[in-house]
Amino acid sequence: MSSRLLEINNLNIAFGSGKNVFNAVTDISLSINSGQTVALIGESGSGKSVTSLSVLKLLPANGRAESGSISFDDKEILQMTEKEMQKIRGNEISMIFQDAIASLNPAMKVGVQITEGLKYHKQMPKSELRAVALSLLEQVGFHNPAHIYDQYPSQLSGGMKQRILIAMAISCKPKLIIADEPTTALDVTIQRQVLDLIADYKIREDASVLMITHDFGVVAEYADWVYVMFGGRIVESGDVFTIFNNPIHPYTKGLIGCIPSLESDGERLKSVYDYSFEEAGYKGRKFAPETYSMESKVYHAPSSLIEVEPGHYVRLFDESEVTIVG
Amino acid sequence: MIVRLLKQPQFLIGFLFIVSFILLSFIYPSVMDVQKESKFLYDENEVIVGIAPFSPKDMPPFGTDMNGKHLLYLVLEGAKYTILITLVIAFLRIFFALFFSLFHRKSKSTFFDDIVQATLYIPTAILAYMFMVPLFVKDATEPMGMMTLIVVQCLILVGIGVPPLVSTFSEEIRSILAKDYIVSTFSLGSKKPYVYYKHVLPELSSKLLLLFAQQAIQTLILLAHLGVLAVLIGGSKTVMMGDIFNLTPSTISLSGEWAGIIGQSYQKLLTAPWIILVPLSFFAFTIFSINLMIQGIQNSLESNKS
Ligand SMILES: Nc1ncnc2c1ncn2[C@@H]1O[C@H](COP(=O)(O)OP(=O)(O)OP(=O)(O)O)[C@@H](O)[C@H]1O
Ligand SMILES: [Mg+2]
Repeated sequence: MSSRLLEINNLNIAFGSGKNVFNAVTDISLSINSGQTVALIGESGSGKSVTSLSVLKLLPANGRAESGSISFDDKEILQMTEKEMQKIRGNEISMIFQDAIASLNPAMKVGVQITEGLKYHKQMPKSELRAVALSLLEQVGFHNPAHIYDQYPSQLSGGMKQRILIAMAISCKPKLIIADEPTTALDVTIQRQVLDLIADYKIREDASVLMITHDFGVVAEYADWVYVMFGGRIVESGDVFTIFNNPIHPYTKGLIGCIPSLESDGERLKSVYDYSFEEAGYKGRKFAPETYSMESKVYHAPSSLIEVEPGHYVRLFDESEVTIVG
Repeated sequence: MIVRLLKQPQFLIGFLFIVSFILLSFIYPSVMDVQKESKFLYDENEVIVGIAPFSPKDMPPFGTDMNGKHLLYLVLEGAKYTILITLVIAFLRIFFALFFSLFHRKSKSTFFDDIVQATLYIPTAILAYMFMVPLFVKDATEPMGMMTLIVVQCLILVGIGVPPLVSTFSEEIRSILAKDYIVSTFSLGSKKPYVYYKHVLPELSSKLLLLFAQQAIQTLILLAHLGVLAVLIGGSKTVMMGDIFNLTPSTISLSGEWAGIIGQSYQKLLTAPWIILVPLSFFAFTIFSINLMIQGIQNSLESNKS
């Protein structure tokens, strides 16, 4: 059994204050062992990015982790000072962002941006920084690193930019890489390249990956464990084979039913709640957090994750009778 | 940056206008055949046929003021003071505002913001007037010398421009800090000072020139307004003028900047309108030139983005 690297327990994240409080993430628990790739899958707006940003304590100013815990390497992240976090960011946990174009400073050479993490975490002379950056560029598949080093982001294609982001993320050999939909903006062939680069790094350094995606095809290929997220909550989780062979929640079933084909161009996932499985419920209890009836969404009630078989959890309402209002 | 700007025709034209104004202002006495004053107009028989002020028709190109001083030279003489004072004020406004917004961002005082927002609707000329009048009162009782007076006046003009700029800068910095690549660099472990120095300031600096030009325009407008209110940079002196039968007190600008020309003769708007219209149109023309530069800057910022 490999050891726990990241463990999130009952995490709640809210935005705004007073009357405008918005709970983006409710009661999320998630764990990643070292050497594991864990996928967090869910539709747009379900809270995936917010969850991953909270691991690095980089939530936007109006957001905060209200309760729960995030422990990394047995240290509580939510208790850490900004200084302690700076030592972890980029060095032990790094992030590959959704939008490669926006994640690079347009006015700075990409080579210089790659060395930013190294400057902080590894004391090395300037000349060496450049050498390391060049070798990183090579690792992410550039054949002419010296040329790329001096380019500005606008001179590179989307896939190249995403590879630059990967080079930045792996520069300090972190134990955990959070990849937030790293391939959304890329076409299918390049998606593979980028995902393979991450997977290669994982194997080479025995690192862990939190793969955020809305594409069950990616999950099937790269992940060991899956968390399905819906409306800020985990609705189903389990190891990848179980989830694929025996999905229970209608939302998961919907997701698996619509694995994007090779032709689809990473279009945003609409709600794929599969109504046909809704009526069944599970052992007399309805699926949470939302129940649909005649296509109208109803009801919010206490719910919890139920272990339906070892390691396989599904979110159900606590009470067996869910009154349908409206 | 500079090279790219000079390739923008609008910027270049505006820039050349301003520069040649200042240059002319410094060198005109040596290159032009200067006859600065014509108090009287004589006919062939050396008989006086007219007395100042002369209209532009009688004394081209711009006529003279009450004392027979040619407006062309007054305006040229004043250009250096006017434009340089304006540039200095605009620069100091930007400088202080940037300083405050970089080092005072911690105190997210909405109260301060609200006060600033409220004062934005008071015409700056009135604000400046309110601060300047006590100064003149003090100067009248215990004279402080022209240089001191100019410095204090400039500080007032700088001061009233800083608070709104601080809000502008803070807003700008906030929006830069919200950009994805800032989150990205923080996610690599960057510290705040580094992020400000390497990412925020460079991005801000492209806007600084633009804001500087805008401030220059605001200052020019403010000076023109103050001139009409007879608040003159460098102070003024009241002297008795006119002929012995018709003595009138009038104010004379001591520094010679354009607002002063306006201020000292605004009572003559009806009888000798050109005395006011000439410096006013130079104000307008300078503002127009700076606006051309602003267009150029904006164009180059746009082309920078793509
Ligand atoms: N700064 C913010 N202020 C207020 N609400 C926010 C903010 N950032 C995110 N949210 C809200 O939090 C929820 C979750 O957002 P999040 O970005 O995590 O979604 P996501 O699952 O990553 O979606 P996507 O697939 O589009 O990236 C959304 O409903 C969003 O509106
Ligand atoms: Mg997201």
